[in-house]
Amino acid sequence: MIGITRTTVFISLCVAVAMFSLFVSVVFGAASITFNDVLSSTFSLLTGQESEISAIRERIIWELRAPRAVLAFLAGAGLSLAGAVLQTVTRNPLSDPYLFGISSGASFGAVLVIAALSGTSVSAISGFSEYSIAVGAFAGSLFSVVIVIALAGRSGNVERMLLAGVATSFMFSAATSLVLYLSDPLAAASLIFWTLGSFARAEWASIGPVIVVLLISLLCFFAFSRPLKTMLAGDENAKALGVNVVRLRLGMLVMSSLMTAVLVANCGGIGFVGLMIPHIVRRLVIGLRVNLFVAVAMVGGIFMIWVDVLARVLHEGTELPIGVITAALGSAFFLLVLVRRDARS
Amino acid sequence: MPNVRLFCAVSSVASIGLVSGMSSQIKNATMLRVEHLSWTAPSRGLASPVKILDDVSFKIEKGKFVGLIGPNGAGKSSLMRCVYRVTKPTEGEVFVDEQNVWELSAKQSALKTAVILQEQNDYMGLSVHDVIAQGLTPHKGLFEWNTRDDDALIAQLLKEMELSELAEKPFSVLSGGEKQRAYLARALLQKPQLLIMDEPTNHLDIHFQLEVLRKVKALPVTVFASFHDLNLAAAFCDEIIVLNHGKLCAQGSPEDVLNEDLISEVYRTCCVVDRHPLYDHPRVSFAFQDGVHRQ
Repeated sequence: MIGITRTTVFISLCVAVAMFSLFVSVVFGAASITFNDVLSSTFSLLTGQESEISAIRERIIWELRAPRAVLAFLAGAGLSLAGAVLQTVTRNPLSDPYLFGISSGASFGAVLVIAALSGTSVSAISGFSEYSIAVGAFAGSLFSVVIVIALAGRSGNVERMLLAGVATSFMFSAATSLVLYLSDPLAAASLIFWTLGSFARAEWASIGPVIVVLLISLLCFFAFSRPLKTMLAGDENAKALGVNVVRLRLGMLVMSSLMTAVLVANCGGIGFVGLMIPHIVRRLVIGLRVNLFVAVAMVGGIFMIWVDVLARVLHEGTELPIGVITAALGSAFFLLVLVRRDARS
Repeated sequence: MPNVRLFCAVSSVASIGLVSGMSSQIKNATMLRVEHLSWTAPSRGLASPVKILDDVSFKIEKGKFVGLIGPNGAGKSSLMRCVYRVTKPTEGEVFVDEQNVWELSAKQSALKTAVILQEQNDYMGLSVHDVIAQGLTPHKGLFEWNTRDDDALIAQLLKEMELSELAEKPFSVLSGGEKQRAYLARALLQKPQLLIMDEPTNHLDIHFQLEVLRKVKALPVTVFASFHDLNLAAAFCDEIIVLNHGKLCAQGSPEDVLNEDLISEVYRTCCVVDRHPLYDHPRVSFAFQDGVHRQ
């Protein structure tokens, strides 16, 4: 009974904090907007009454900051989810989407597009080509997944899969470096900005597909959460417990790669989240009757909203890249885990 | 002897409907049938393929506790892997409850056969409850969560295995004996007809060795377990199968199988077999020094 109450508290807390974060994060940024503005604007939107705040502010809230907060939540949820699933199917706590070459494949796709466009005009890079970069990144990450799965073979062997991921990752990094070396400095700067990740390009139209992909993936992980949990017993035990280990592992790799590819195409490369959040959540939910994947998605989403807030407020006048903040927080987190472990032993 | 076992079982797990097909266990039917089984390990790198199992055939009756003994590398684990449908034999067939295991899916096979392996696994943050609940996997489809009955069954098993206090603790903090009891609970939750155990007493002190084996012996399931300790095998098994160099070299009651000639030959060690002073089953004592021979 105690478990059930604690579970309810945990879930309600997650939902409450997520809602709170979505609303409050809209306040932070270059243009000053108060929490009251957000509330009255939301109220007027819901009731259809005339809004009390200026049209400019209204537009900043609903066309700039709200989609940005939602995209940050989705990216955090999706990347953490992909990390949790990959760590489960490989039983390796260091697995995350980037270990499988998805990020370097995306970078390669993006750099090819940027290099191809850099011959045209500078304005093209900031306009129409953003869409092309996303398409290039998506194609690149899918390509890397195909290579990883082809290399990993049908055996579904964990070590083989991880090695295939690392090899693919390095191969694409090498190719990316070569293209960058041969292309002009402007294209290189543009790519570096892209790989560090940002939610500045968020708009409602591009969020739709992200939500759909994320919901389908979450539903899939939710449906398979029992066999996935059983995979943690090791391949041989899982097989003896009736799990089709090889098929499940490959299927989950494809699902989480697709999800990551969609996110990377929209927000650029954001590392460390997929690695760190599942670690934290596993500690939080032990003994609770809550689905790990749902919890990971919630916590990851909330985390990313606040990372984006930090990106906006830490350095006045400019926005810091998301990837820099997640990597800094991530390394600090792992150092803390290390120090605490040392202190305990 | 079987009557005693069934009686014990009624008072424990069987009373809550854990073990299916109990009435059918009483009949003298075949639970496991292995026919002309051979398995050649595929070549790895420069190593050439090795024939691990060579034309092994035997039967196990329902309700029996059967031990598998043999020296290191005899093929015990490989034979068990073929039975629980993880290794596909190169030749021959395995029938569990008269069904060819390779005509079953992994899930269908898991409904009949449960396995307890020797393992070193930290289960990445799963609680003891989570690990035991894995036993429900073959009984559940997608989106099928634990029912109230499932939870009651898990609670009952936790109690039986004296793990109730530890249910919500991380699995990795358990001691060897507690882990082994949790594996047993998971295997029972699977409601198997055949329970396979690969050296179930490894890494356990004598107290836990006896405790685990006593618990298993009290169950109305067919048990096929491998042993290194011949005296434990003699004490708990109805029948013993001896494997050497991938070939079956004896099957029978401990009295028939555990004799000085066979043990000396298979284990390449001199020994004396007499009767256990308390229970009268065979007792094996090994000669520890070179040059000591039977009188």
